[in-house]
Amino acid sequence: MTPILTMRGVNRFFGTFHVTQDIDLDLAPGEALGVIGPNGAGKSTLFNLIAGTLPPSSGTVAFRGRDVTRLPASERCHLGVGRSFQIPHPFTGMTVYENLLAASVFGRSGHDVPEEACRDILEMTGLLKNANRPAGSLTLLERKRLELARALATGPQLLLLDEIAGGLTEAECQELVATISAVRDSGVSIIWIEHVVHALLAIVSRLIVIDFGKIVAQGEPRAVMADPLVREIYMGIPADEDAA
Amino acid sequence: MVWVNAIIQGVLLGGLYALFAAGLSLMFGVMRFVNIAHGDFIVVAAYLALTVMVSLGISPWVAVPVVVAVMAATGYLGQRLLLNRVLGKDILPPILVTFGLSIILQNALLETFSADSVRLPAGALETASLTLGDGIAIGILPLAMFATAIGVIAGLQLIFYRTPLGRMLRATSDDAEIVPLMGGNNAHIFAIATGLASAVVGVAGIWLAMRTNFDPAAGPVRLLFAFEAVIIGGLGNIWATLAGGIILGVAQTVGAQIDAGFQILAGHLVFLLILIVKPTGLMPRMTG
Repeated sequence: MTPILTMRGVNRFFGTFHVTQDIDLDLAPGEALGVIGPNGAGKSTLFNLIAGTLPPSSGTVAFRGRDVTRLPASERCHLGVGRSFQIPHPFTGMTVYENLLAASVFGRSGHDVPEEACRDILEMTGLLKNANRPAGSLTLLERKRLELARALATGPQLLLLDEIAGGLTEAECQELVATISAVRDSGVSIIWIEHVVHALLAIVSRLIVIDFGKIVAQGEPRAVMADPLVREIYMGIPADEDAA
Repeated sequence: MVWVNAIIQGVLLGGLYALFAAGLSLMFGVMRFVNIAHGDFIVVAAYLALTVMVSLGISPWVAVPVVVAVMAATGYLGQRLLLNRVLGKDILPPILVTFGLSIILQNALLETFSADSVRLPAGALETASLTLGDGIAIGILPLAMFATAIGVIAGLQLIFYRTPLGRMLRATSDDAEIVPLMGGNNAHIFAIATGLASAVVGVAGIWLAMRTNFDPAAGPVRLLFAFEAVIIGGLGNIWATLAGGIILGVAQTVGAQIDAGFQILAGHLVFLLILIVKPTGLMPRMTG
């Protein structure tokens, strides 16, 4: 099967700072991939390269078998790349429902507004009762849900989630995991950057670890987490001193 | 009765000022873009209307849509080809470019149409009026102008709050940086906003041409009135812009009643007063 996303030899420099180094990555359709790594490792830059917010300095990005390296973010979104942000950016002057409608109009490049689909997404993300509230009045959990709902309203085949569980209480986090699990089961491919590792492990079937812009480990999530190198990089536990 | 009359005339004049202001307010609302050439765009539309109707002799029923369509298309293209290039975090480049455009347009108009002031004749409509008893008469033309302003503003409100296009414009106004990640093309949306604003400028230009004498240098004063109407009303609320226009119009006609030379100054003084008392405008931004 053609991978939904293929990155080959992707590099990105900011000036002389080599933020993303030779990333090779394949994602199968329907796969859920987790990304962890210390702050500043280049995780969000990786998302910017996939979403098209930043062009790579070298290398290629292909989406559904098509080279999208030079396509801007708006066109990649039309092809099916949806994204949620670490810090929620709702359109605060509009209602929750209008936020979704706007996303769906933009995301589908001006086709008919699938109002039915937007209502389904509101229901799925638990926002239906808040549909007519101004987005600016939402709580943090509701804003995170709106980030997810708005990304879904663009009709994505690949969903990029950037630390969507960050800052939530345990109970809120579990609710969100249930929602994301439903999204995954509907066939949408997911790449999820998250520091809340147990939330990530409930969803993803593969985990990659990024450090200093490189993929330093990848594989079955529990095996990756048990890797002494990962424990050292990610949790600061020296490899020779197993605190578990 | 003279005073009642002055107030009525002022209210109707306010409709014209609201038309001037609507396009300015729309562009600022969506793009945070201050168009210094806005008044000159209105004058260009006025000359365009004059050329189409008087020189080419085309019937107003055809000419009005033509002027509005030409202005809208020019606005769309101008935004895509020129103004989008200077939009950014820095607000100075757009101001400099539109200031330059203002000078270019004034001189091009001067070169083409000479400095003589002209007017678009409206025939018998110019003097037709409704008499409301004792010394109060309402001109049909100002009344139609006011009705047009209400129609345009209601139309814009409808577009903004009831259509997918309006949602795109409001979303862009809210957070233009996020829009591309949801599939929106900012360059296109900005150009639509300017196209829409320019269509309103077209309507405003036609009414300016019928209502007063104008010349190539008439733009900056219209820009000033438009700014005053927007700021008196409060930014980001289009009905408030109409209220702002009316307040400015009434201040001017009542001022003119006190002394003919006091007309423009009275408007500016009321504007100054409102800036002191309520700097955010009378009805600052409402959310839909």
